Amino acid sequence: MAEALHFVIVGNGPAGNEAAAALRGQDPKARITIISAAATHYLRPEKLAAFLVQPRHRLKDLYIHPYPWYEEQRIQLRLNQTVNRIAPEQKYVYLNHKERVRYDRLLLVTGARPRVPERLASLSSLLTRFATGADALLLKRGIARVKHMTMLGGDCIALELAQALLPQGVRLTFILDEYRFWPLEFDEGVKKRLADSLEKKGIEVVRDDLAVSVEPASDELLVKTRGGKEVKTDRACLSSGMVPAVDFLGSAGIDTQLGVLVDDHLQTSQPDIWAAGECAQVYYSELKDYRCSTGSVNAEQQGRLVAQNMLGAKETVKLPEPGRVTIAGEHFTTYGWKGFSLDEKD
Amino acid sequence: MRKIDLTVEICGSAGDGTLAAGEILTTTLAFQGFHVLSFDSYPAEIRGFGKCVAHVRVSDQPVHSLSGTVDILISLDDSYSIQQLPTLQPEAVVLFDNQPLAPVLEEDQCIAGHLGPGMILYGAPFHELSQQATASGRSRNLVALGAFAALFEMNLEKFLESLRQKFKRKPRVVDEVAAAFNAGVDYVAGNVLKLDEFSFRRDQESETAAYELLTGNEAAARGAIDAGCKLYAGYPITPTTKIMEILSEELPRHGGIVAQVEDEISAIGMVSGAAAVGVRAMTGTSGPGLCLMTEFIGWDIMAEVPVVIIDSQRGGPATGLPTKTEQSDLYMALFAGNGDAPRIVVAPTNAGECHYWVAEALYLAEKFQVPVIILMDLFLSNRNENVILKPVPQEKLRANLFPTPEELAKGYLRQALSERGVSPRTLPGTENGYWVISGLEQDIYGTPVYDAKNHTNMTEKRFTKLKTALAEDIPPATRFGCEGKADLGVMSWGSTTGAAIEAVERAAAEGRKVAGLKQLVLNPFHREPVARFLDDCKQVLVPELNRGGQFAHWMGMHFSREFLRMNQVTARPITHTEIYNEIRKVLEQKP
Amino acid sequence: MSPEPPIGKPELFYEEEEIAHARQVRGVLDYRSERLPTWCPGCGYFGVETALFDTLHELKIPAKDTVVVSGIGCVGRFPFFMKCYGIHALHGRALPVATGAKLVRPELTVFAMVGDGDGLGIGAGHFPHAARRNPDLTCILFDNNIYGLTKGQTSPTTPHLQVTNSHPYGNPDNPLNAVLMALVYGATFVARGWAGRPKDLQLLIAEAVKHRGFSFIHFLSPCVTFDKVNLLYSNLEQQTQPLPKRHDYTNLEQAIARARDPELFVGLFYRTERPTYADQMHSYGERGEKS
Repeated sequence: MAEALHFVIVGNGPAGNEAAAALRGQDPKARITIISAAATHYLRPEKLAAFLVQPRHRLKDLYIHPYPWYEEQRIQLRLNQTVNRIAPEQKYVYLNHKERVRYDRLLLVTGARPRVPERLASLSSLLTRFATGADALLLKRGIARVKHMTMLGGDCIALELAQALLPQGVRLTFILDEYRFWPLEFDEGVKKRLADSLEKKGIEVVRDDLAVSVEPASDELLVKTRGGKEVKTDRACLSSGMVPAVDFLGSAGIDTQLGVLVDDHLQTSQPDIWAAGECAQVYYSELKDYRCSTGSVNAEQQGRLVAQNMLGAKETVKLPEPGRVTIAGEHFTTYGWKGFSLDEKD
Repeated sequence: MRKIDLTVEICGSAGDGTLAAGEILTTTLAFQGFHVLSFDSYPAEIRGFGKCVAHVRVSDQPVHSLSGTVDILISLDDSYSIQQLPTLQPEAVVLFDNQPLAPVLEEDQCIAGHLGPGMILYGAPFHELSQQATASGRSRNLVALGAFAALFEMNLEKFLESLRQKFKRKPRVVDEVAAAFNAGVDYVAGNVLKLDEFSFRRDQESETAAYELLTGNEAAARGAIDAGCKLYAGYPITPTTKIMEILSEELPRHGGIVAQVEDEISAIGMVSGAAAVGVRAMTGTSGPGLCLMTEFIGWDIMAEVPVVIIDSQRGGPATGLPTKTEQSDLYMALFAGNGDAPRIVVAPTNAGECHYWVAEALYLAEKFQVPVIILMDLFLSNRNENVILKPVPQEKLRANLFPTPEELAKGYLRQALSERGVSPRTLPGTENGYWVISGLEQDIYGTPVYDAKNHTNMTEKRFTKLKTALAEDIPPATRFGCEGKADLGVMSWGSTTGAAIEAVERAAAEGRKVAGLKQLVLNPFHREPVARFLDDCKQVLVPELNRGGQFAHWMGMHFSREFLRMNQVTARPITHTEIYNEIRKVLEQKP
Repeated sequence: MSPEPPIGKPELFYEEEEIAHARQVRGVLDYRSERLPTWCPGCGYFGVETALFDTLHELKIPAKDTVVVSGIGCVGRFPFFMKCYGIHALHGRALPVATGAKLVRPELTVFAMVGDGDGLGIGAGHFPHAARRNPDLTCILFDNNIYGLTKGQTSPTTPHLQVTNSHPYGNPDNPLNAVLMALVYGATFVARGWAGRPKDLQLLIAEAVKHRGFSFIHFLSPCVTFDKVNLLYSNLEQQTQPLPKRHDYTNLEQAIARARDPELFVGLFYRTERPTYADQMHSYGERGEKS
């Protein structure tokens, strides 16, 4: 092959960066482009909570790769640019700003995005998010005025936020969903232990309820639940877990369900297109079933593996190890998040 | 220490309103109290296509030169803007149209895929918003400015003031452009998350409120008006045409006349005729025009007629690079013409000095009855900067040495010899003040003669008058940078001096023993300060925009000294960064 | 540098009585320099000098308000032989210098004296613009059909095939027609005179000075030293003819026809009135003040 192949990676998270590094390591001549809708550079989301409450912390201190790394690796980095369509036949990705980019091999590593429950979809503009660096930046700019925050649904991201905000004297309310607390393995027992341990930390818990409306009330918000509870709060935070960010795939001809469906080599239903990380729904031969994974460690591993396969290998992905979340001394099992703990010393 | 020192560029295609946007931005920044220096590039073609770049450096302290790198780029045409990327700082910010008119763009037509990893890209739909606000895509540039203003925390009121000022003759247009501008502001407020740390917020404007924003040409024209010039005869030539155009409107309001004539020889001829009968007159041109005026310069020197000629230098030789700057006419200004023909040569370094030295040139020419050549350059002529102009003192408005009534009665001789080298001069209308002036060598009675003694005396007189000017009116060179002994000295002239000053002061602030010398009058000049400077400096670097090192060579004719040359013919101004880097390179070289 | 030597007089000067006589009878010494002309005896230029002095005296134009600008050539010496303000300019450049002087000081009476080489060769580029601008000055073109000062080379008006010092085999070029050029360039006063009719010349010069605008006089003058064949007094006596009485000098077509006529007409070819250069410039000043 005389011309260098163009590898296009959609997503700038752990999977995308590990894949890019591995590709460059194996193929010095390849042309590698990372396209991401994220405004900020690759960082670990778990560090964002600390960044939020430390006035002197700068976002760029959280970056995994200082930007000269991309120059040295000859990786073209395209941030704040959204892919809105893929044409696998012609091998183009189309961007929001009307540009199209031709690829030879495409990797979808768009990760996960906050799940927005149907009932909250129309209120989306009033809700605070805390998934990305941009979310954290925006929240940080207004943090001085946040005295009370309400978590709608409850997930581990909310726990991270709580861990950072509690010592600052911010009061927290969790309106806990009946059936899930992403990404924990969930049942009645877990539900009760979870709610109890949260209350032990001084967090107000509304159990087995759902937020149904959020209205502006002078300079605050009024959250109303299905059960009739009303909560006056400064911020209503979307915390119903994360789902694979695959909405843009539309009718591209790439099979999706919850995430992008890939075989155990991480290849999608289209030749020359792979997926990995939190956006991928992987077929595990051990399970004889598909499963989405969470967490950066899994994403990194899959990123390294998929890079090999994009270069011609046929590596098989392994089932990830379960992880553990600790809240006020209680342990909960999770697939993907390792070693998180809602205790002050962590 | 500068708190803010940023360079903004707007890049587009001809017809995008790039330069208009640059002008509005520069004006607003100046209104807000920033020091600005803007220098645009135009396409070579008159219409249709070509890249336009508006380029402005902004600081909280006075700026004297360009930096050479860009911190914020507004792209009105991505294909051209991509060409500007190599000059962008690694953490630069780029603002682009994220909903262009075309249905789809390929990678090489869109700037989004070409940025460095440290750069930040902001998008706003310039065209769409312009369409919505004004029913046409023409105001995309204003939408972009609105987005810029919001992103970088500028004073929106001052922006609208600039718009009103720029379009003051078309009030309907003001509403349109304001709508487009506000559309850009609103879009950013609702849609764009600011990720960079650049800001043009400025709360105290009092400092630069007294400043005007002027180009070198505008300042020169003002100097002519303020110093009582009553005739400007000229021929259009880039980059000096603007002086004539400004004066053609303004000078008649002050009782003066502007004549656009058939060629440069006629221009200098008319100026010489007017000056010979006692009226302050001047012309402006560039290198090719000065070539044509050469014979008349010699004639004015021989006939002792006071004329002022501005040469705004551009790329040469011959027709050269008409729209690019250079500093290669020094030899010509100093020496052009046959015979021993000494004249005064001045090279102002910024717009304020253009104003001052045009006025001073008219005074010196009249006082010493000799041509004064003012060397500007295209960069100086066209760049916009804040200046405070000083008024011309009353006593400099009249400088002719008239004979006393006793001298007239005794028998007046125009060509009489004198100690100062300046003979009293009557003007037509004076009884018994008759004279004939000529390009021939004349004796004291005005008769053309060829003898050795007379020629020697008269030649001496022409040189003596310059010595007198030196003693009576010419200021000495001034020093900047470190004091006392220096490891490296920097000498430059014209607009390059600004870059030299910034580079030297930066090096000196870092504790290096670097000094500089600023010389405004290149002939005649005071030896002493230059000699002392050369003595103090172990090595001397001379940066200038010409291949031959004309100024270094000129200094070398007077002082036996080797100069380190920094000669460039890059068709763009030397930046302070380049001189600073050269200073470091020289200092770090072990002998 | 030596101090000013005591003022002495130039070598040649008139006896006291002769001076007094000339001064009383004609005012010529008001305008004649103490320096005597150096033109060759018999040169036609003497006639212009006399005519000019008479004109200035008659029109009461003081010497102090008179400026004579010349180019280079034998004509260039003109200002040296007059007592007024003289500017001996560069070859071909008398017109711009004169225009500039008159433009800024309209109260002065300005003359531009040019030669045939000086005015129609190197200076030809300034001629159309002087004519069309219509500055209020008088231009006299001293045409001796030769370059006299540099000793006898072909000039732009030397006849075709004439043998000269620079064309031993004959001049290959066709001569220019100065009067025709002036008419076509739009001069508002065009006349021709010649050295053999000094009185007519003086009348023309007087009219020219009185005319408000660019007055052009084509003056034919034999060069007694370098032209022994062509422009002789005897030849010119025969070749020249006064313009017929019925010649309408307000009619440009007629004037052009006469200028093209092989007959060498002398007299006033054409005259018209038009705003002068200064008129227009000053109107800009008024307009400028209003805006």
